[in-house]
Amino acid sequence: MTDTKSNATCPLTGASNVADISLLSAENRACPYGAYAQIRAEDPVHFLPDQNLWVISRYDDVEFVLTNPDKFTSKEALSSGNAYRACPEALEILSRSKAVPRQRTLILADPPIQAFHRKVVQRALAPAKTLRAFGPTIEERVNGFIDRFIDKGQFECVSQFSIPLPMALVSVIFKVDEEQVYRMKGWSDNFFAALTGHVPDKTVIDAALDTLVFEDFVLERMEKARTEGSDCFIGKLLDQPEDETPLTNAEVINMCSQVLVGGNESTINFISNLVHIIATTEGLENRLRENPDLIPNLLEESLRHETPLQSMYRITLEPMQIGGVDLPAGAKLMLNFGSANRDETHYDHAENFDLDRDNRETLHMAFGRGIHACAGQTIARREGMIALKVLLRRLRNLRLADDATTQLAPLFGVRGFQTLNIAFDMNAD
Amino acid sequence: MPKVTVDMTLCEYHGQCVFVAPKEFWFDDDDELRHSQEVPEDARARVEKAAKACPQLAIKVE
Repeated sequence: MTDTKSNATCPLTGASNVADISLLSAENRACPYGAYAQIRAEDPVHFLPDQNLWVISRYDDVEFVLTNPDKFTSKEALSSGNAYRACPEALEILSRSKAVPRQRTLILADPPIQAFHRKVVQRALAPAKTLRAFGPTIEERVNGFIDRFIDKGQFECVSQFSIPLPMALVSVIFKVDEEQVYRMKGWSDNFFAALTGHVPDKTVIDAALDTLVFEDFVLERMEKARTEGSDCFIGKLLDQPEDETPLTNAEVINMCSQVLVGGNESTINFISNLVHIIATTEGLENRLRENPDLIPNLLEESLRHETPLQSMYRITLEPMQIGGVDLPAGAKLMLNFGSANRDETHYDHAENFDLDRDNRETLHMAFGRGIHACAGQTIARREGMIALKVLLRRLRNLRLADDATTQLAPLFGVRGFQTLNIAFDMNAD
Repeated sequence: MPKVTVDMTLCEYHGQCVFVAPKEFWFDDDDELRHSQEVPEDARARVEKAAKACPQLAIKVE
């Protein structure tokens, strides 16, 4: 049997003092795992004074925070700092928002309202039902993407494969056509970039402008759903039992924005990471083709090893100790899933990709844990599963193209690709 | 023996429990979720993991 373990260890930082490590440096953004390992070993609850942020690096500590939502607020769960607040021009644009008073929902909300949001979104999204209804045609769509490049011997994975698949799901969820779904993708890109922070003001301003356009898009569809009825996600959100508190416009807008961004960004990187590991790991492709039952293992190990969304954030509601370190109330925590998922106290040879690893033993945290665990994780897994099944059936000898201009995803805290050129042979079978 | 209950008003058929603890949770021929009501003590850790993996937090182990 060919050895399908790949040892993709990042170099250690060489910093003699953990305080000298910057997660924002170009090297550490290209490959953060060496820095993570050093911080995890030397200072697992690590304060970054310039960002006023505590980095939580160990699996057990991250899990503790995720499963104690009464001790931590999620109101800034998605960003290390508020990019809009630091950009007066964007704030001016957002002052024209119709989603007032602004309402945090779901991932940005805390119990008890969070449980209500979760319930109505789950009911409207109905992932299992959505997949049952749409499942068979996902495969058809994937075949369609491949048809467009099958005779070229090469494809750019991100734009021709990873993006179209989740966007097809988004178009089904919101019941929009292809043209509209790519407009939505543009909005989503700007929203997400502004959330991750560390981007130029121009991006934040674009995100603010798109926020207003997006609000109108949602409000218009709400109006239509209320007068004519609609079976799109927005219509389903509004279809509430009489004894339930009606959702406000601001709540619906915020939920739609989260489902839009959550429904594509991470899945795109997930799919690219899967294709990349197959294209770069000796023997992996053949093992998967010989035994497709290994694909679920691959999905979980990829999610652990290259976690698409590397971190989320919490704020302490009371003074407390984490990992023996005293934290004040109001401390902002970066939950480093990327580090927790490589914690050597839970995973043997944690830095290695290992198809044979039993990820049932220690559940990775790529989708979070507890009350905020990703609501779309089953959809994401199914997309990954079908993408690989069809890809392996039709293409052979996947490899980085000779003229590979592989570019990593540029945003902070994201593991994936911006460009990933893959060469292949056609499968003669 | 640990008792396993699943709140079927919460279950959304994600199947994470089936992945984590296939002996204790399974889908029947109609795609309905089935599970053991009671499990041996040595399966406790596995069903607790399944409960942890459930995105709906629908599984309770007592």
